Amino acid sequence: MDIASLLLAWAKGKDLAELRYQDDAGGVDVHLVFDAIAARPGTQKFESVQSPAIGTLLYDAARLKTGVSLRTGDTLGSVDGVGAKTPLLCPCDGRVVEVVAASGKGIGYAQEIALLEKIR
Amino acid sequence: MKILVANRGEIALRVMRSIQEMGHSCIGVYSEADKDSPHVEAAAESWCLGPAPAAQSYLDINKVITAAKLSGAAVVHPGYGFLSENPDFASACEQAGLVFIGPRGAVMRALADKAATKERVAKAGVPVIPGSQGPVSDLERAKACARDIGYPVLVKASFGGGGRGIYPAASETDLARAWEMARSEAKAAVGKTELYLERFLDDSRHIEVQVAIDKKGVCRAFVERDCTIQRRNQKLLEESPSPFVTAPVRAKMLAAAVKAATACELTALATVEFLLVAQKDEFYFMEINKRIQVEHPVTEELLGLDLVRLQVALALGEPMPAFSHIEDPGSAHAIEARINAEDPAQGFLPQEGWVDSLILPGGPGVRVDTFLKDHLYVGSDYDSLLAKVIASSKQGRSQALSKLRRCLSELKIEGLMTTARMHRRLVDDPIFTQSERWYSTGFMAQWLQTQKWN
Repeated sequence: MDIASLLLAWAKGKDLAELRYQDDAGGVDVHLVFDAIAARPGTQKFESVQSPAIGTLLYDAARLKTGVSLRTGDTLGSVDGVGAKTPLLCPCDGRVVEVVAASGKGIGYAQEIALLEKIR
Repeated sequence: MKILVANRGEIALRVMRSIQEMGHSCIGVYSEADKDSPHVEAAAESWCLGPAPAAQSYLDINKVITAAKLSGAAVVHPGYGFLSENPDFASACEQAGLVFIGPRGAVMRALADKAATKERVAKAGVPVIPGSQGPVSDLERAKACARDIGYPVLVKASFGGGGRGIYPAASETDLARAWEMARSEAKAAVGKTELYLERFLDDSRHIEVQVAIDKKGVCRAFVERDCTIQRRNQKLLEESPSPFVTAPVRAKMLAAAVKAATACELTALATVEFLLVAQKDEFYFMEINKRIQVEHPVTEELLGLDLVRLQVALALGEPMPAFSHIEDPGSAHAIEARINAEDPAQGFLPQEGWVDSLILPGGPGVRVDTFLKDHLYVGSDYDSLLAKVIASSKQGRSQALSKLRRCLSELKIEGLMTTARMHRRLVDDPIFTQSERWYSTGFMAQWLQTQKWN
């Protein structure tokens, strides 16, 4: 079997979106993209906005809503905890597909707030 | 009532079990590294505090208080380690209107000074290790003091814990070196350089007494635990009662523990640590712990109690229950082996990896406190304790040991090197198994040197 077949056999059932393989000598460099999986939310086509801290999530619902386009570094709101207010920044250029966390509610660190479809 | 458990691993699960049985609701907290850890599921709700490093999660006072506020918790149980003996955390809970299960912040702040605590306990009539009266200001005074006490001595940092900032000196030449090392370690660890001196009782056993105190100051002491099996001041195996504590010594020691805890104005649970000197039936106060101890199940299994339940009840203001037989072990015996993710063959190097498969021992008189499950990843961000295997018997030490021996052979943690293999050998060693043979806290260091692992 060639290296690509071996890698495909290995990757089967692992739920990967992408696979990059390089051998030590640099003679082999394989980059596989598994389209069916990569198209799912949370993989490369989409990116989630995650909470940067534990606290109360505060954002302007007119600004963070489905269909709105955002730029990397846009300030979307903040997460207010005891003794700390952490700005909520947009991680990439993208369009809001879904907002999953409500403003004014508590949120844990790294919990998903919204899903963005990346704009390339 | 909602009670937040500000901890992880086996102790978070252990504490949650009692809280649930009392009819309260548990709030869990976790770091990103622990999102698959069973305590997250065991709680009614759990909050992610931050990334894996403890300083950004379990040790961050503001984040823990935030989790308590968001969840509507009224009470915080700190477990052991992390923030459990941090006066600032206790004070922050008080300021946030939360009941902290442990002493008040001001009490903990005063007890952080070990030299001052020792003086306070001595004034209450508890025997303390002969040493300097309070801190010693410089090396010249330390030399004079050491001549009075007699070598060997221990140079100890007044602040800090966990066996840090403690150095022995066998002679005056040694003293200068020990003085410098203790000073620099204390400065690096807590930023305070105050030191004091104590006689080094090298041929002694580590015996501790569990005490419980209600809000009216009623204090009770429980049968002692023997924690002599240690490596570098870290306990490896604990048992109760101690094979070397006679009934008259026990009575004196338990009374001394009550005096010490009362003098320190403690609440709920505390543990008073003593050194028992070889062949003399003399014991000395060493230090006092203000939290639940790792080895508390030994006392629970010996006496049939739930110490966490007692701790929570006392912290909530309930009066001391009318206990009987907590000062007399009868013929019962309980023993605990700590299973750590450390490889004895590599100098106890911490291990990390996936738990491929897990088989835990069972049967009558067997208890396993653990957070392990199949396919859990054990990282190196926190303490290496994986499981505590506790065996108990109403028919004495040798029966409890037989049970522990059987448990250790049943235990299988595939995928990680653990200290289980060390325990399997230890429970077969005649020095350890023959109750009449004295060994001291230095025993394990020597025993480990005689062992070949590969």
